[in-house]
Formats: sequence, C-alpha cells, structure tokens
Amino acid sequence: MTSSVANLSCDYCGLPVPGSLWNSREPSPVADASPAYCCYGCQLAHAITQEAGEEGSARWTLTRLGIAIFFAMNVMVCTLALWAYDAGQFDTQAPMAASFAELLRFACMLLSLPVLFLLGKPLIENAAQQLQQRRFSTDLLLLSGVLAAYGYSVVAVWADLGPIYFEVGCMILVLVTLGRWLEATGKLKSTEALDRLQQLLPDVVLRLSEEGQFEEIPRSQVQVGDQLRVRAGERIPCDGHLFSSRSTVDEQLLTGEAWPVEKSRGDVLTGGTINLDGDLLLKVSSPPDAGTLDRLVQAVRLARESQGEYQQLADRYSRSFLPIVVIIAAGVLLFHSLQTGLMAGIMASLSVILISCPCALGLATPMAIWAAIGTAARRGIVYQGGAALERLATIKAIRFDKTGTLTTGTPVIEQVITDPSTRLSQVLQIGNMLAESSSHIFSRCIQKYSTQQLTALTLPEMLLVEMVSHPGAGVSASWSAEPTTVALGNLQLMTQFDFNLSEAMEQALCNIHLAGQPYVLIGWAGHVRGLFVLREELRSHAADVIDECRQRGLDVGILTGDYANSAEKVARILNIPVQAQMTPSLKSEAIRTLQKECGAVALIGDGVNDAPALALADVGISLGCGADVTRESADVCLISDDLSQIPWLLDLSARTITTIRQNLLWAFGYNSVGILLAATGYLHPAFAAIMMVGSSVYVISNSLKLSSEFAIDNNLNAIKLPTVIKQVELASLPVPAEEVLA
Amino acid sequence: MIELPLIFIAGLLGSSHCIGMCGGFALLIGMGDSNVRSNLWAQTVYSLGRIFTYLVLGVLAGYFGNRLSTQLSGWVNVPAILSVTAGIFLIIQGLIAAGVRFRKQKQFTSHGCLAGSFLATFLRSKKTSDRFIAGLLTGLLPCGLVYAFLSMAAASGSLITGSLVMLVFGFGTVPLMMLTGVSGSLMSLIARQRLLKLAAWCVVITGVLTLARGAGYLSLPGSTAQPACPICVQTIE
Repeated sequence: MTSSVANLSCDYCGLPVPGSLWNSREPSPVADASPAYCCYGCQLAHAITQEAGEEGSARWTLTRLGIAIFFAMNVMVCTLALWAYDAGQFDTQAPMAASFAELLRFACMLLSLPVLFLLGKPLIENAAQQLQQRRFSTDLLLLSGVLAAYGYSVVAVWADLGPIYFEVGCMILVLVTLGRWLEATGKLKSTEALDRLQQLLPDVVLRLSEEGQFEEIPRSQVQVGDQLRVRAGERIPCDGHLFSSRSTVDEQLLTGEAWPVEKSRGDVLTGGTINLDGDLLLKVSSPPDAGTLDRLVQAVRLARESQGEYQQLADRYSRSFLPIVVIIAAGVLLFHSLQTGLMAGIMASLSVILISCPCALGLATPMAIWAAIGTAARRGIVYQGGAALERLATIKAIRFDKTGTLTTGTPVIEQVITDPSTRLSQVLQIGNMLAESSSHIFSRCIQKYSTQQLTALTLPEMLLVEMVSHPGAGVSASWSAEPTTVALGNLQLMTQFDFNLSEAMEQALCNIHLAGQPYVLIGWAGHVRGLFVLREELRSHAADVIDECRQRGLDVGILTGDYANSAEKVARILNIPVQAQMTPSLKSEAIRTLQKECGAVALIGDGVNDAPALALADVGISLGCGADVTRESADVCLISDDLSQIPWLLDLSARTITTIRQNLLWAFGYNSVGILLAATGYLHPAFAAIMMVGSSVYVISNSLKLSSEFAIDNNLNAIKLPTVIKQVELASLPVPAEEVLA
Repeated sequence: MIELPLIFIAGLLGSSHCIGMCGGFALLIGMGDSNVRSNLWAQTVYSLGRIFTYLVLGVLAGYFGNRLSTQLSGWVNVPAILSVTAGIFLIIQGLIAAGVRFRKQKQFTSHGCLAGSFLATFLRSKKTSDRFIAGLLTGLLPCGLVYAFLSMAAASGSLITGSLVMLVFGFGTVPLMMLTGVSGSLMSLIARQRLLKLAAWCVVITGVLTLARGAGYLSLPGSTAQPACPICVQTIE
C-alpha cells in the first residue's frame, strides 16, 4: 500500500500536495493544522470560490485581480506612449514634450502601485507560508525580482533619471496570478467530473419502517438490510438487491452503456444508477459510505496518487531543475549587471526565472493522467494507478479468457434430443414447468427456450405438485394425476430416481460429454426422456473487439481452462488462436512465454479463477468487477462486463501517452529554448511572463481536450431515455458445467 | 483616414455576427436589472470596459507595428504585409460570416475556455466596477474580427491611429450589443439574417480596401524596377 494517510490532499482540487523539498518524508506540522493547498493557484481559487458561495460577499479576491488588470492595462498604455516618445514617434520638439514624458512616468508609478498592493500582498503571504512549510519554489525569486523592479523604478521617477520598469512588475504580477488561477481551475476541471459523482446520490431516502410505513431519513442513517423505496426517475441511493418484482435501470453512470437494463427480483442494484420504471423496493446490501460509487471514487483517488514512469521522470527533472535555474539566474544577474548595469541584470534574471518556472512541466503528466483516469471512471473503469495506464499503451499482445469474457456466461439451448418414445412438445412442456421452480441459470435458459418453442402448441391441463429442489443436482416433482416422479437435472439426479437411459440417449449423451458441452436431462416414469444440450453464447461484440485489437497491431489469442473441443469452436467463429485446458499455472507460463516472444501482454479475464495470470500480465484487465473495483490482481477493473470497452480503453491509453509526450516535449523544449533566449537578455520579462502563462495553458487545455474527446456525456444530471428499449440479457455469474454435473 | 467611417460601420454591422458569442454576455449583464434605465447603465459600463480594452490593444498594435516597420524597414515592407494580413483576415472573417465555409468549424467543447468561470463571476455581479471588469475581459476574448482590426491598427504604425481604429471599431459594436442586452432581440429573424449578410459583406469590403492599400504600399515608387517577392517585399533604397 502507498502511504495514502501521510499524503495530504489539496483542499481545492483534491490532488496530492507535493512533499516539502528539504524533508520529503514527514508532513510538516504547519500543513497539518491549516488547510493544505498544492499550489498558490489553488489557494487563490479556493478563496474565490468560498467567497462566491457566501451571501453578500464582494468576491473581493477575484475583483482584486480584475481591478489589477485594469490598472496594468493603463500602465501598459502609458509605458508604450513613453517608449514611443523615446523612440521618436512623437514630435520631441513640440512644446511641453518633456513635461509630457515626465507626466507619463509619474502616471506609470501611480497606476502600478495599486497592482503591487492588490496582487503582490497575497503572493508575498503565500511565499512566506511556503518558507514556513519548508517548500521552496520560484515564487520567492519572482517576488524579489518584481520588488526590485518596483524599487528601482520608484527611485528613477523620483530622481528623474534612467528608465522605469513598472510595466514589468505589473505584467508579472497579473500574469503570474492569472496563470496560477488558471492552473488551479484546470486541475479542478480534470478532477471534478469524478468528484461530482458522489454528490449525485440523494441526501434523503424513503425507508420502510417496522410498522409498514415509509419514513424519510438521511441517507447516512441507512443500515444494511433496510428496505428503501425508490420512485421512478430517482437515483438509487445505496447498493442493494431488488426486492420488488421488476424494474428497468439506467446504469450509464457506471457502465457507459446507454441502454436501460432490465432487473428482476433479487438482482443487484448499484447506488447512483437511475430507476426508470415505476416504484421499486431496494434491500440495502452495503453501508451508505461503502457502496460501489464510493469505492470507485476512492479507488480513483488512490490511483491519482500513484506515480507512473513519466511522472517520476518529470519530478526528477523538476527537482534538479530548481537549483540549476537559481544558478543560471544568478550567473545571468552577475553577467548583465557587470556588462550593462544592475537593472539589466535583474531584468534578464527575472526573464530566466519566469521562463523556467516549471509549472508546465509539473502539470504535463498528472493533468493528462488525471483527466484520463477520471474519464475512464465515468465509464465504470478503474485504473489502479497511472502506471497501469502507461503500460496499457505499450502492450504488444492481448489474451482473452473464454468463459465469461468472450462468452456471456449465460448459455443457450443448442439442441433438444428426445427419447424415441417421447414427443418433443412433452419434453419442452414438462421441462418448462420444472424449470419454473428453479432460479438456476440452466433452468432459466430451458424455460426461455421452451416458452419460445411452445407458443404455437396447445397445452393440455397438467399440474405438478410437491416440487423439491435438489441442490447441485436439479429439481423433481410429482404429477397431480398419478403418483409418478418427474425430474430435471444432471445424471446424478437421474440415477437417484433409477431412470433408465435408452441406447440412443446413451449414445447422444456420450457424444455431448466428449464435446465438452454442458447439458441437462429430464425424465419421468422410469426413463430419461430428454436431453437439453447447451451452448455458450459469444458476447455480441466479441468478434468486433478482436478485430479492433488486431487493427491496433496486437497479437490476439484465447487462454482458457475449458475443454479443447468447446474452446476451438469459439476460436473458429472468432478466427483466433486458442490455448485450451490451461490450468492457472499453465496460463501464467503462457503469459511468461508470450512476454519473451512479443513484449508486454494484456490479459482480459473475469479476475476470479485467472487471478495469478492477471497479476503476472503487464496489464491485467478484469471484467465484471461490480462493487469489487479494487481487485488486487487486476490493474484495470471494469464494473460492467462489456467487452466493447476494451478498444476504447486501448485508445484512451494511447491518446493519454501521446498527450503526455506532447506536453513533456513542449515543456522541456520551451524551457530549454526560453532559458537560452532569456539568458542573453533579449527576452523582455513581460513577454517571458506571457510565455509562461501560455505554456501552462497549452498543457492544461491539451490535457482537458483528452477528457472532452473521450467523455460520453457532459451533463451528468441529464436523464436520457433512449427511444428504442433494447432487451438486455441479465448477466449472471458464469457457472462451469462441471459444477452442475458434479 | 478614409476607412474610419467604414470601420465604424464594420464594427456596427460586424458585431451582429458576434452577437452569437457576446450577445449572451450582454444579456447576462442586464439580467439583474428590472428597469430599462439601470440596464442601459449596466450595458454602457460593460461596453466602456470593452472599448477600453480595444483601445489598449490598439495602442499596443500601433506601437509594435511602428517598431516592426522601423526596425525591419531595411528588410521588409512591414505596413504592406500588415495591411495585406489584415485585409485577408477581414475578407476571410467576412466570408465566414456570409456563410462561406472554408473548413469544418471547430466545435466549442465544454472545457472550451479556462477563463470562462473567471469572466462569468464578473458578468453575474451587479456592481458597476465588476461590470466594467467584465467588459474589460470580454474585449480580450479571442475574436477574428478584433484580430483583423488589430492588424489594421498595427499597419497604421502609429499609437494614435492604432488606438483610433480600435476605438472607432469598439464604438461601432456598441449599438447592437446594447440592443441585444437591453431587449433580447427586437428584430425579426429575417431582418437579423439580412443584417447579418449585409454586415458580412461590409467586413469583406473593408478587407478588400485594406488589401488594396497594402498592395499600394507594395508598389512604392522605385520598386517597379526590380522584381520583388510578393510576400516579403524588399524595399529598394
């Protein structure tokens, strides 16, 4: 585990606060007592948003910046006029020309003092606080430069000699403040989508009291086992099971799937999804603060804190960067002071500091990662850290588990074989009646199949009584008319009731067994009468997903523990190589071999029986995690079992890495070129400040572009009802055939 | 300057194509005011803020235009290039407004502008100073029309003329913005569409005039003798 307790998170953007430079291990005592901010921008932005929230407050912080901008613009105009005068753009021979210039100098001073007062003061306070917290940043250097420019210029105006530099001070103050504020806003934007998720849950819920009345209670007081009423259009407040008969739920929030999902009694309902269809009764299964949504948000918060390779690279660079910049700035100051004069030295070193301000560099990686992690979370995908995201972009091969990954895990009836003496309609009809009493996955598919087949046939009046469920074997019952047992289940159950297998049936059973297909038997009156042969169904997107993976140049394949026969059947349909009858240890071995042959490997599985292989793969992707979003073995967890998220995920990772590279290239390149230019003294500090803000804004918007490109819908609160309702199969846990037949 | 009235008209009519973007701001500014008079006052303050920004930008453009042309006078005919740039800019802007599509227009996404929340705070405020700042910031928003006139201001190569160009342009944008802000929309849809077309062509005409002036700079006396690069015309001295 990472030391998440020791890591402070920013009070504004919720991102981790960087450790102090001098003793990075222990959090400083000051930071513990006072609100913590990761940067000056966040402190500023927090002050602004807090004030905005208060009634009647003057939003003084933001107004201060606005007024400062106005004054700075005035200073700019006066300075330009002065420069134009010096450059001879005006008629210097005109009467009052000299006093006009002097007036402009005074105006510059008067107009720039408010800027210093309005923006300098909070910056000074922040720098002092940073010193107290033993965090060292370029802010301190910037401030000294700005103060020097002001001090020098005031003296120059007073003594009426030499050039003035008020515009430099004003521009730097305004741009630095604005830049920091923009950075904080950008950070908040990259994280707010996720943080807003939690706020979607209703504050008040309707609980069924012991007296059978509904009472309003706060959501925080809900306990496991409570029954809650959720009205149509409301968000489901907690994780639980459906207690009323049926409902339709919009799970887009967690799965990215826009189609409503049909739910029947006993099905899992997830907090934050929307009940679309009439009142429903929810039986709460997890405490209100430990639901899927909370775990999701928590997992993503943890993921934000973990650092990938790129982040470590940028951090290492930034850390050694600061001392180097100080040395360069000092060198430049010395050189230009001796060469041209003190003020030229100060200006040049100020430019160096402004240009080298590692804001863009510091933001380059985390901004992109945060945006990507947040976007993925909105689709119910949780990365266990930025490193997983980076690794996913480098994979060369991808392997799929079969059962429950490529196949639905919900089988369908392929064939019904009947005893020669029995009619098919009889088998179907009795099978249907028996299956009705059981909720087993096989029973459900027998019921579904026989209902479809029987619609045209007339049903004679028949009743089954004394239904008995035999766990792990099947169900049995008696006729209402005569005392004969009927049974539906595995071979064991048939033997239990001494049902005979005819020769034809025995042959058929043998073939099916060899093919490795699951089956269910039905029998009555001393004979096995029918054989339901089941087949695993491929997920609807399986073929497309594999195609898309191929298009991305990946080596694809199946690793399965299933019998070769059934695995090869799937492999033929999907046109993909398969390795069957793999035990968990063989799977791990296969992954190791593949890593040697191809390179990085991603394995996609359900994360239950292939955990060791998932952990071994470079990226383990686990489908159908549900509430279990922090599965240890998987690097990426999908709440849903929607396979079609995989190509999207690959694209997101690739795009994130591209964005990070662009950001880093920009930041490194800009810093290196900028410093050279600044060191020569040719770069005016005002332009350096503009470039600094521009560079940060580029990195921020480049990263935010990522989340808007991959976002599903920007308005979380909008409930979208599709015009066509698609029936979505209820996905149940995959049940291996062996388990039923055991 | 012969263009000044035209600039005013371009600003006046050209602003109708900007109503889509800035009209919303104008509406927001006046939202808190119940009567027309206080709303008008709010609009005036807001517009003054905008014009102030244009003025400052004009001064900047004029200064740097001058600096460029004096420093590079031996190499490049700066006013000519700036004029041509401004002309092309204006023509493109005008044609886009008139309905000509050059390439797929970028969709503004929700994250669009980081400064959005910054501006919004001022727009919603009822204080006069905040409204002025809102105008100030609106003037800094990226707008093709503003850039086009800025290139023109730069081409003038003078602080005074540059600021004058922008000032006139700024005042030109006031009436429509005010109208939008005060009454939402007084005009019918058809009338607005007609005005829009007219405005667009007005911008194109200003562009053509500027371009022509730029071309005029290119053919300075004496330059006919030698063939010159059409883009970076070297002045002959």
